[in-house]
Amino acid sequence: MTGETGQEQGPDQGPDNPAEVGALWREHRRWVAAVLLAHMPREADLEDLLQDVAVTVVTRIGELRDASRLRGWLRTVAINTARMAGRKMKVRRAVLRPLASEDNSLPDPSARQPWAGVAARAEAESALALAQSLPEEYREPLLLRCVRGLSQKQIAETLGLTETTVETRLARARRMLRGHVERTDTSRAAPKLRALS
Amino acid sequence: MTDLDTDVLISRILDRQAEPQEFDAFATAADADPAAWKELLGALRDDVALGVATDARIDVAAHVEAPIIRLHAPRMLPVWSGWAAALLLAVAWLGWSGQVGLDAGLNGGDHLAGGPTGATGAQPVTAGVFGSDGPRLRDGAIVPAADHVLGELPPELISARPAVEGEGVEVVYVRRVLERAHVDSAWSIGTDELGRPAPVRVNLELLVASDVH
Repeated sequence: MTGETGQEQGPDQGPDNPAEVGALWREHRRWVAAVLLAHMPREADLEDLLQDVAVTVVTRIGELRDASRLRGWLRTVAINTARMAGRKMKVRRAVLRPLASEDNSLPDPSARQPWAGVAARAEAESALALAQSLPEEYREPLLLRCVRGLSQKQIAETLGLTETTVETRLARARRMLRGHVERTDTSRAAPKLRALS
Repeated sequence: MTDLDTDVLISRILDRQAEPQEFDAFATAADADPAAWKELLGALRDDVALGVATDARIDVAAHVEAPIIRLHAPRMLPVWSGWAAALLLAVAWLGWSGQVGLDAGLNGGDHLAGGPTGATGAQPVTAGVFGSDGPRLRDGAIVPAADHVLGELPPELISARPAVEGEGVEVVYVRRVLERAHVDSAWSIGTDELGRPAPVRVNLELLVASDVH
């Protein structure tokens, strides 16, 4: 298997010491973050969830008997972590609803991105938000495709799908995303047109 | 060419997967329907935007390292934990043996010190999950019959460090044995009015109701 560094892991056994587990985590953490992004609640903190996944990996890697299933195992850990965060958020929302008048707004993550101007940042954040609203089977491969260095073959291996299926899902996901973007653009433009008329 | 064909073609172009003949096929399709160029442009724009946003988000992963767990189990437990564990085992045994009264179990220090096999004459049985060179329960512990051992859950790693001598790694882990037993009563460790650990009887109906499996 090849991780973000492109190095190969041993074919049969999982890692059995902290240094190896650390190296393994560094190889895979970026795409694990993408899986979390595809499944976590919007208001959850990605870094916190990654920490949770890292702890689970360190403490439970011994349960992995077949190293060739590492990607699937890591994905399952990430999805479970994201879903647990979702359940906690649900409870928290129920408890905190009476306090909704207080300012609980989250900081805008795009504000930390120094790569572009305001309009470009807004467009990128909007695209991500729309991608996260796609059905699960489409948003996950789409976000994984955005991870640098992750091949289609590796995405297929992670998701337990054939490459052809991944390709079809990516095509459909992009079509859906385009539709969402066009609808969003139309709804934004409508008030401006009304104001001009 | 169907819409799906066009979508797959555009997707393959964006992913740098398209072959030369696929570029030609797209060009031909776009000549027939120029809207295809617009679709390609839109998909490319979405792809760039999504890539930038996703990349920026998952960059946080670079700051998250795998934790090095250095737990020292004995220090994590309160001073009285060893005594409490012994009490719990003894009380649990008293609960399912049915041969020693509850009061005697709680108040009779001899019973606790003597252990279950000494008190009742029950035959010590070694749990079937332990290999001949593996750890054993002292005095056969409280497992009444080997067929009550249902299996063993994966071990839980507590700590790992390079072996002091030679190769390999020294690990500290918990072996988790799945057992089944019939009990007449159940107890947990609570505290008495002086804050000392004390056995607290558990309502069996509540115990059953709390079973989520």
